[in-house]
Amino acid sequence: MRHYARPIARLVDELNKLPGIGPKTAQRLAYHIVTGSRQDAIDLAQAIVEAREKTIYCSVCCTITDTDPCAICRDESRDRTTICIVEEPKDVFVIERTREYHGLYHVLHGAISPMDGVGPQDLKIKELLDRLQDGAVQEVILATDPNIEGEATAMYLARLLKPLGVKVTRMAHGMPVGGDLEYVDEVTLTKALEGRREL
Amino acid sequence: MALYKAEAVVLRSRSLGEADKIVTLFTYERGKVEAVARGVRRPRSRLLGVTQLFTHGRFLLYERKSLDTISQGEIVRSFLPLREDLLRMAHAAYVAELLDRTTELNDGHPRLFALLLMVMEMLATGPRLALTTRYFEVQLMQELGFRPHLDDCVRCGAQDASWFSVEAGGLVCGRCRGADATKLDHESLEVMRYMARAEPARLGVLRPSRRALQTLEDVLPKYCAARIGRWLHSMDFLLSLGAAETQGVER
Repeated sequence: MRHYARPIARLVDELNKLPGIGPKTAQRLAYHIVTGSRQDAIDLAQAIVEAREKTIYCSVCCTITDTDPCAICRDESRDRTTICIVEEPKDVFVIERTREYHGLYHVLHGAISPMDGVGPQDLKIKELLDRLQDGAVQEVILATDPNIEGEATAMYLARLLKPLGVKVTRMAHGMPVGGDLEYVDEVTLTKALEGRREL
Repeated sequence: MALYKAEAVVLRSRSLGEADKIVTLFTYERGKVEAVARGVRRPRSRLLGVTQLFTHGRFLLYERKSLDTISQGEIVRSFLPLREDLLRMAHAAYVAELLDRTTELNDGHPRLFALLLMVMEMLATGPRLALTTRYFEVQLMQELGFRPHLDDCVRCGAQDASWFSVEAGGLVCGRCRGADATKLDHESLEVMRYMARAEPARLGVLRPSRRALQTLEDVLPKYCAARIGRWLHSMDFLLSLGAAETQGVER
């Protein structure tokens, strides 16, 4: 990258390492940063450093947080008998947005993917089992993604948790709101029919 | 930029950018093809169902210089039971990874496509998963020109060969065997020979004992791994579920 000034080349290189950012986008972002206001660039740099330095994994639910335990695990008003299991920390945010769930979470940090060499030992399953030791949890909701990896993880966990006497439930599958029946695939339709509800 | 149609099974997919995926298809017409499915990680994508792992579908693709693009697709068979049973899924993942690792892009192989479809069907609905997977290993190796030598000693031609050497590529006799060789009982050897020549529909007549199945599981995955130069991740996962696997010979 000799045609770039050295600091810009470095910035492009670093941005290019981010997921979903190709060389062209990295170049565009780099020029946006260096031609924008100095304060915006400093704010961005400080936000990145602060986010990296001040976040840790919650020792209870394994999500990313700035306090340990995280705000949800500390909140006494949450239902402590239910744990919702998700693949990634960002999924906690997605479910919280619904305002319908008031229990706790557990973040696995991935899903079982045999072909990519990700097995149960690579996920935060031991930490989950530790949380279930005291018998306070009555229901575990499996909210892993509805793809093969997510289903495999859900099936594995169901097999592991059912003998412990915990109620294990799976998030429902169905048609997307605002979707078009014509374009819903047969697997989703089958699941939607199985899970139909009386009006 | 030409359009072409392909009947295919989804072997693998990996994320690309914000909402796309690169999908590895094993097609009837062109063998293995890698194609981009745009927007497929969004919940309302029309390609969402047809690009799920192990799905048998009909696709319309744009041919491009680097990666082709999936334009349309419809499901022929979703092999739903493979997603609802961990053991079935683990076997199917191993079959898909083995085929992915042993084949090159754009190298048409209709017989392998037919074998893959038959094996996926048997893994989705059949009772004997381990035997089906062993059958796939033997047939795949045979189709690719790596048929294990099962007649006499690979090294000296002796008729009394009853050991299997992964390194030598087949049977060896007691005098030629190295440290890696596994003793094959008569039943295991006969099952292996039968699988090498039998049509998939004839597999149902086989009723191997648990011991013979275990011997074949000790030998055949290693044989495949040696031919392709690496041990497969999905085999590790399958072995980790091994306790359930051996609960009954039927599985």
